[in-house]
Amino acid sequence: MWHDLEHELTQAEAINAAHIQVMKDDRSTITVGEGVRDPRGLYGTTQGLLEEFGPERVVNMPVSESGVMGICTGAAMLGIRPIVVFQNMDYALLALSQLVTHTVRFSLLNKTLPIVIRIVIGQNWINGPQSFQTLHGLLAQIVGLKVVMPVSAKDAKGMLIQAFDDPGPVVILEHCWLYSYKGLVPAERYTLPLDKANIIRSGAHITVAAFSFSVLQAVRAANVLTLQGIEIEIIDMRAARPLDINTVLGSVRRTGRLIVVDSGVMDNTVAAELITQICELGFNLLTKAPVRISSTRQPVPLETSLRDERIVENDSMEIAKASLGLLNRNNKVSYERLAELLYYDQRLDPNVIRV
Amino acid sequence: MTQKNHLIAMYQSMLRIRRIEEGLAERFQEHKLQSPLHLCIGQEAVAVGVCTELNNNDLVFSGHRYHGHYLAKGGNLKRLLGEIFHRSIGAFQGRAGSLYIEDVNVGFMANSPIVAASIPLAVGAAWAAKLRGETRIVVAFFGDAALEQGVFFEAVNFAALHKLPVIFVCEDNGYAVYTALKERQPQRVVNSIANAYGIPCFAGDGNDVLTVFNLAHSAISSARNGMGPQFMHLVTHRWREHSGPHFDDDLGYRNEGELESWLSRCPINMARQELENHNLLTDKMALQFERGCQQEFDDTYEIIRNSPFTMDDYRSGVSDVA
Repeated sequence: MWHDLEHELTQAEAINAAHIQVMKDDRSTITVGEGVRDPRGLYGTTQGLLEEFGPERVVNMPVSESGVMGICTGAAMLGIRPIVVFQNMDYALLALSQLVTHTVRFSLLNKTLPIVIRIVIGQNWINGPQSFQTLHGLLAQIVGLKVVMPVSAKDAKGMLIQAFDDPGPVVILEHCWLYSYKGLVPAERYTLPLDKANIIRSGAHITVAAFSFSVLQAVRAANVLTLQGIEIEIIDMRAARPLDINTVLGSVRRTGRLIVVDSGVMDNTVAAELITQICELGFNLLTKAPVRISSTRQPVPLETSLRDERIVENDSMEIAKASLGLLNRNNKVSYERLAELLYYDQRLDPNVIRV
Repeated sequence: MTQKNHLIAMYQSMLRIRRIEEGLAERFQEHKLQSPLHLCIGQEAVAVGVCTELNNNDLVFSGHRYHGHYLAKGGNLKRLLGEIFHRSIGAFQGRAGSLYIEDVNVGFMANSPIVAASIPLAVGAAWAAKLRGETRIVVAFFGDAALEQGVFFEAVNFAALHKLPVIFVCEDNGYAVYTALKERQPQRVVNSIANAYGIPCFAGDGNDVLTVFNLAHSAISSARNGMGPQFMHLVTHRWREHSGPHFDDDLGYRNEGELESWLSRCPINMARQELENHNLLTDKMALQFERGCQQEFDDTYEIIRNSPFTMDDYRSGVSDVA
């Protein structure tokens, strides 16, 4: 049947398809941001929109993030439906005052203010310590804001359309390493909830709750651990706010062990919040102290090899190590074997990681 | 002639704002539950002179000192007092307190306690009006300190680029709380800031309501005729403390005699003098206006005083947010 059609798309293509869908659905939808008309269309996510919807609805903004957030909020108050794109988190920081003081507060005071904010996270280049920070913990503190972090192409499309349908502001954090990640995506209009985590791999021994790109790092670890007879259950958290505690709690009830993997910094984070809530609600379910894993406690280094080592390899290895630790199997032989296995599977391309 | 007819209405409107503000100052301390109170006493002519030229479907955005702008735009006193005193009949059912007001029925869209922060909202609304092919214009009221904020320039740049129907009204009262303008900004003509963006600037005495009205008339006509954003720079003075019901000249942050000179140029007295010079206002009419203003405030205040607090909703968890 026609509505069963699925295509293999990259995440960027899926986001592009969602843009086209909502801009067709509602003529008051506009896509705005610095560079949304660029020849490369923001990793392809805004490709072709200008040609299809015209310059009034696909608008390159001046380099004024705070102004852009305020202007789009003002336009949304008058019934325009903006999808605002920020090319990285560090630029979006300039928009925070408008987002917190106006966008979110007016949506709370007036009960509604639909606006979708896409922010690119993750290192796409040698950006150094001041660029492409992953600060979703900061956004997750804002009462009244939804903060989602889709991983699969299917999720990216369905969650963007759901974000569009949501009556309040929704931030979508898109990890740039996932833009090329391919998956089957339904051709029709569909939505996926913004508050439901997804168990993408079942396992009896350990619950691994992961955010954004970390989900694929957990999968790499799982592929290696299974050769050692260890099955981890991987939860794609999908959202930093609200946190789907129930799904994690249900999994921990089965496994008794919890690892939380986040793509941001280590301390004072969404991972910390998740562990706190699991301890509060299910302390007696845990047979071991929970573990959190994150890229770094320091700014991301500028030098590529250092960065890759710290972010890309480290996390999969850390997950594997932590898993062995939780199962009391942390001997030297196991570590060396894991390192060896991961070495042969260390490519950055998310498409080689089989879920 | 038209001007003179307007002058009576503007005198009444300024008087109404003044008496409401004075009533607020007097009653404020009776209440245990308090929000910051930013009175606009002394600055009424800016609000009234500009808003008199606006239609009901034109939109207004403001900052923290918004009472005059809201009332001059046709704002509902019950909505305002209800919100200031945290009652469920307030604009946001008392959830926001004195720092926020909104009333789409009269085109008062929003205000913000962050200096300059509502300017991009006004520009966004003007953009929306243009995108939707609507004829309305938008006014952004802000103080002199807004010219120290980056987002002011970001918003002006965008408005000029897209030729949006927005009027930027700088209500220059010379102080950011206790800090004088000369400690915060270089000596310059404010016109040049607007002109740098190709925006015409209409500057004048912010205490003379007829001057404000005439300048607003020109600015608003241009904006309505598709000439893009316009800028107004109006100099005035806040008589009382930045936040709260009292006078604070004893603190000594103003120049010697500065407040007195502004008090002698009271916008309401100046308008009254003008009306009397043209035999447009008799003592009897003046007394009638006075009584009307007092009556409105007293009656509304009585309703507010006897209406329920919104906090009851909070306690029962009705207002909880995920």
